[in-house]
Amino acid sequence: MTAQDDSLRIDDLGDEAAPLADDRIEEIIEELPEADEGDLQLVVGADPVARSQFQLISRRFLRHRMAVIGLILLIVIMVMCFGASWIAPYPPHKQDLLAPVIGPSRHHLFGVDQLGRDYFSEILYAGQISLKIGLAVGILSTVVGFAAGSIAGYFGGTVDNLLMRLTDLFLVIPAIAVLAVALKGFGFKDVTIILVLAGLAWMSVARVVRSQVLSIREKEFVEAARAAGGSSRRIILKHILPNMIGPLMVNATLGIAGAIIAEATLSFLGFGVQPPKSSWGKMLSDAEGVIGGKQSYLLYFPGLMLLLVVLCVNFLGDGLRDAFDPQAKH
Amino acid sequence: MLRFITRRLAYSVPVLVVASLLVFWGVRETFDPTAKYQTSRDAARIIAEKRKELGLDRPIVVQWWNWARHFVTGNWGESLNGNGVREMTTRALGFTVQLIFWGVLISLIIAVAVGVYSAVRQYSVLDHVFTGLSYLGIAMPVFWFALLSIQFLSVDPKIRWNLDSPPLYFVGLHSTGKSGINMDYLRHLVLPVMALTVQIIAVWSRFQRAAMLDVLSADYIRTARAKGLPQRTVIFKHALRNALLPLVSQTAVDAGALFGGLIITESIFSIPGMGRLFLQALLQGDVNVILAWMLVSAVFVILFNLLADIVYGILDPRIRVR
Repeated sequence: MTAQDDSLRIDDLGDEAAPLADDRIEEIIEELPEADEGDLQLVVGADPVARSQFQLISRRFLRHRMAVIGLILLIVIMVMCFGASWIAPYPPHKQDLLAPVIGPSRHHLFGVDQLGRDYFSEILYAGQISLKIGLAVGILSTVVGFAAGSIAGYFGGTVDNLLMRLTDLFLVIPAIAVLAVALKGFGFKDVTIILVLAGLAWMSVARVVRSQVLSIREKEFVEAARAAGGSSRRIILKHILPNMIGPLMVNATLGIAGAIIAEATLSFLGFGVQPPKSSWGKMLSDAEGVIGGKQSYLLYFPGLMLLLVVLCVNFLGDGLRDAFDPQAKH
Repeated sequence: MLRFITRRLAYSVPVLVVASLLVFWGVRETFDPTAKYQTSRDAARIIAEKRKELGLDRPIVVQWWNWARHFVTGNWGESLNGNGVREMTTRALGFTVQLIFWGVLISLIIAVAVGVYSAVRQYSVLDHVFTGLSYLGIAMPVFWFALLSIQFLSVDPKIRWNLDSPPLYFVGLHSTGKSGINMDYLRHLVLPVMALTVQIIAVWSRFQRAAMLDVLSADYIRTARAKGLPQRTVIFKHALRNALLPLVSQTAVDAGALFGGLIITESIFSIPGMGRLFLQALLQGDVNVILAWMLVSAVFVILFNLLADIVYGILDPRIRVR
């Protein structure tokens, strides 16, 4: 990530990005030890079951236990947060200043906060913002990163140079400085936070995509497509993109985790979500004063949610990587 | 080699110039140092005067050039509060360097130990435990970990056992009036260093495990085993030495990135290092401090990246430095 293009080629020694689609035979051989009906038929040679690429990948994904658990948990958390208006036991930000300071109980699952608000409901509503920003940044930065990276890798030349210089530049300018200055300038709206975070995150995706495209564009099938008269746009979208959908999805998931943490950190420092809106990072920043007090439980839940979501997303990313690229080491 | 170093350094100069210009412009656009005079009587006149005094009435490139000219000669200007920026930065760097030194040292020791153990006893119970912990460490929000450590290791014990002072402090690196390396320093250091290292250890130990596994499956290790060398010699003399190479350069790169300051760690533990200097400057729109901070941390990033490449080239002659 830091080795310049013209210096060491450490990265180039390992990591031969294995193409995914053109090794069908190896895929099937790899499936063999898992002896179920279809494979047995394949072995005895009678009526082999053809599996689509999608089936192969989803079978491998489902075998990754932690990834499946992560996915299920993520879906549960997302449904609970985005469905908060139906699920949350109390309306958002409903204060009850006279409520006694009580910890987790039957009525208040996570207790109540300093203003007497039900903390469980607050967590769910805050989660909407954390998750929304995370998902949007992950997807946006992947799309933009793919566009920039594939153009740079495919055409080379000026675009490529420009992109590489830009990434160099942002290696030097610290992300947090850009974020803080930009947010202070544009205001702390959700959209600006998303745009600014994605504006920083797309570059690393672009670098990964670029190096992949550099190797894929030399493959015979790309040459064939070009010989058949396919336009550059068609080649990139129809021939190159499907061959790197795996790394892209892995990148997108990891990008989501990174964005959730980044947003939480910014909000914790006061440069993110502003009241009355709240996110898990903002809730932690509000809870900083309760350390050692009666309400120290306020400290646990937002952090626990952050940890849980990021953990699930990381497992999901692992599972996807193994599913798409079984030869990859980790 | 010398050509490589000079070229790399020369190459980074334009990057620094453009970066500082961009940051200068960004900060100037976002922050108005004269905003505080808005409410005074005769505001228009005072603001105009101040703008002239600070040179704000001139084009941004001219302002930047005036700053850069002085910066290169060692005159880093004054902060908004009238303190010398160079002295401020040097003092802040002192605190941050202490944190980085202890943090990197401890991370390295633990990460290498964990990584080697996990590789040698792959799929043992402890290996699985370490793997699980590293997943937790990577996903852990640093500021949350810091807050929890204050709660459980400092505030809670003090209340529970009715102590005069908490077992571990969480403000600054020394109690007032004390200095030097002593018990007081240590009690201040533990929590911030923990917050700083938790993620680094998680990443580095995975890194070390992978490197060690790679080396252990090499042919020359089988040879060493086949000729009857004791396990200890094989692991520590033949394998570990080579398995350390990737981590060494990774350490240099990561350590370089730390000089920008541990913004979260320093602000939670009230340590007046680079991160806090930057955060405060940012809140006030103190452009001189922000620029000095940015250039100092950028220079460290560049130098340590260069160092990583050079060290790697020296330790592993197969890699040619071009």
